[in-house]
Amino acid sequence: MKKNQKIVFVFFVSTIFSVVFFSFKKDKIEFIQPKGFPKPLYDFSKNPLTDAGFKLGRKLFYDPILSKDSSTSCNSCHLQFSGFTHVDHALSHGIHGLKGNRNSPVLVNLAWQKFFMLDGGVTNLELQPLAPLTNPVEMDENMAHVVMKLNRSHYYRSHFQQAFGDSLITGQHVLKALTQFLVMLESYHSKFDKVMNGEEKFSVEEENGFRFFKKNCAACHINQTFTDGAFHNIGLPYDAELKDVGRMKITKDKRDSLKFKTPTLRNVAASYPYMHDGRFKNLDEVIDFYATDKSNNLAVDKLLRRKIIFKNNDKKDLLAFLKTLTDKEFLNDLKFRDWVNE
Amino acid sequence: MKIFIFSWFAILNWFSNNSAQHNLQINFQPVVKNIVLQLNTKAYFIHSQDSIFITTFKMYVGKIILNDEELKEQFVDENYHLLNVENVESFKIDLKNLTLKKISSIDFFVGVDSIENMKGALDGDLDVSNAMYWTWNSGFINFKLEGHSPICKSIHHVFEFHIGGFKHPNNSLRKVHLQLKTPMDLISKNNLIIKIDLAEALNNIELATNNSIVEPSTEALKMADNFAKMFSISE
Ligand code: HEC
Ligand code: HEC
Repeated sequence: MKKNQKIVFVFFVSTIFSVVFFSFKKDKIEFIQPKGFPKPLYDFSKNPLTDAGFKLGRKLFYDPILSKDSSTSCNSCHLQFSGFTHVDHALSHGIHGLKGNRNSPVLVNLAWQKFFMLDGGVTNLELQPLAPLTNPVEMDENMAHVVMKLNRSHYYRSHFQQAFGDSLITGQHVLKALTQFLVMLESYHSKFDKVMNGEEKFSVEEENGFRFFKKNCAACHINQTFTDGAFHNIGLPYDAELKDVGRMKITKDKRDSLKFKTPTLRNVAASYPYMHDGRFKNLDEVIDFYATDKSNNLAVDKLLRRKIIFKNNDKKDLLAFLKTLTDKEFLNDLKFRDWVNE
Repeated sequence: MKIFIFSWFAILNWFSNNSAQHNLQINFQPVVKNIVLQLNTKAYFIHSQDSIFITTFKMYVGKIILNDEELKEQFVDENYHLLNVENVESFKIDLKNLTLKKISSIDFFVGVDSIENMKGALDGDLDVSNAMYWTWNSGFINFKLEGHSPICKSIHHVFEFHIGGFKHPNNSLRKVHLQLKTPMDLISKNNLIIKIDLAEALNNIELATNNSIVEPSTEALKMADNFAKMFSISE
């Protein structure tokens, strides 16, 4: 090779190399549309996912700076190994050890959700983090103060600069960053998914449980997301102490009394206790509840106003099926861990 | 030939329209029965002998439309503006590069419409850190008036009115239409003063017992229905 050619060659190779390297570095974070899932409802065009944005959201999620006395982070009530819920706590605990009046839900496949909170009071994922932030028994903060605290931090200023091209931190950017982390919490690697994709097979019990589920449960826990996103009264007795009327709190419509949002069942085996107030300790109790006769309860959703017949091993098989919705890859994904030094 | 003349006129017209751009500053003035609003210190008397003190007043104004009804021309400002007594500058709204020459009436919303409410996290005057947002039942607070009066049978005699809600049947967004007595000539004048009389908002509200509205409700709608009456143009 002549000298000139050599220079051109080296230049060429290094350009290709750096283009590949930098594009990798920038776009490592990618939202996956899993097979068989409906279209996501979250509008990504207004908040394009970036590596910097996702990492910043993750940092905020784990940082107690978001609470008034720096004691409580989002992670206090939403832990990864349980599908991002407050495992073993019926009513989630917040600042000063105060108890809220609801069980914290799993944070899974949020990009497909239309309503947030168990009563659907929040209609856009970006605004959901505000609810715990300002709740006096959760984090007891306000956004103006959080923004002020963050603006005092050199770390945050430079990371907001990277993520949004602006080192002046605003409420909007705090919410957009948190949302970039939240939408990435996708779970679609459970045994159920592998069976659907033909990579694995159900056991006989799981297969029977799946059949039972499709017949009796899938009307509400539908699709690959295992929720219809709607509100139903499934016949849980009213708790006179908690006084939680569910959807009616938002709509003020009597017909919505005691209706709650259908939760996803993904990772359900890991996310005990169950129901909006965590009244059931384990899935056996949930299944026993669904087996009670509701044919005379006119307030209950039509789909459940009957006695569901469980024969022979149906209860055990249904439980075996529900366990196939556990996604170990998701629950252990290092990407969602608290990376202190990033 | 006709086409030629026509396009000639069109070009001329375009030029004259473009060269004649005006600015308008709208100046909102919060008052209570013609007395200028002062936070905390001043006592106002509304429909009784009881004094009322105001500690907070914030309100959204948006989608301002200026009309020249004669020429059927409009100027539309799509923005939302947060008026906040604690920030005097927020009561001045600058509308720039108007091609209108005259305005005969003006329309705007009190509050934030449902489209903005559904959009997610927004910036500027609509940033949630302005504390004009409900967190557990998503939505903007369109109008916030807080204070105290001995007449209120509440703890520390306070009243708090957070009026908002964008979902049916509790949509509290209200449209205001103000007619100028004589059309205003933008070439010679570029400042418009609009008074906001807070006494009108409290007009049919029994402060003794009805002193806290903090969620979308029929009570909130009742107060929202008063909003249009608060505004008047000082000509
Ligand atoms: C004190 C416990 C607690 C803390 C801290 C907390 N949450 Fe929650 N979270 C809950 C509870 C309880 C609910 C359900 C609330 C309801 O329905 O009233 C919830 C609901 C949610 C939801 C809606 C899920 C759904 O399916 O509707 C999201 C998203 C969420 N939280 C994210 C966050 C983020 C982000 C933070 C940090 C800014 C956070 N949470 C902090 C307890 C908490
Ligand atoms: C009419 C709709 C409907 C049907 C049918 C239905 N569910 Fe549910 N399910 C719900 C709703 C709504 C909730 C939440 C209730 C609450 O929190 O108070 C729920 C909650 C649950 C939970 C608790 C999840 C959690 O994280 O707390 C489990 C488990 C569950 N359902 C399983 C089933 C099974 C198994 C069946 C079939 C036997 C079934 N569901 C049928 C609507 C339904």
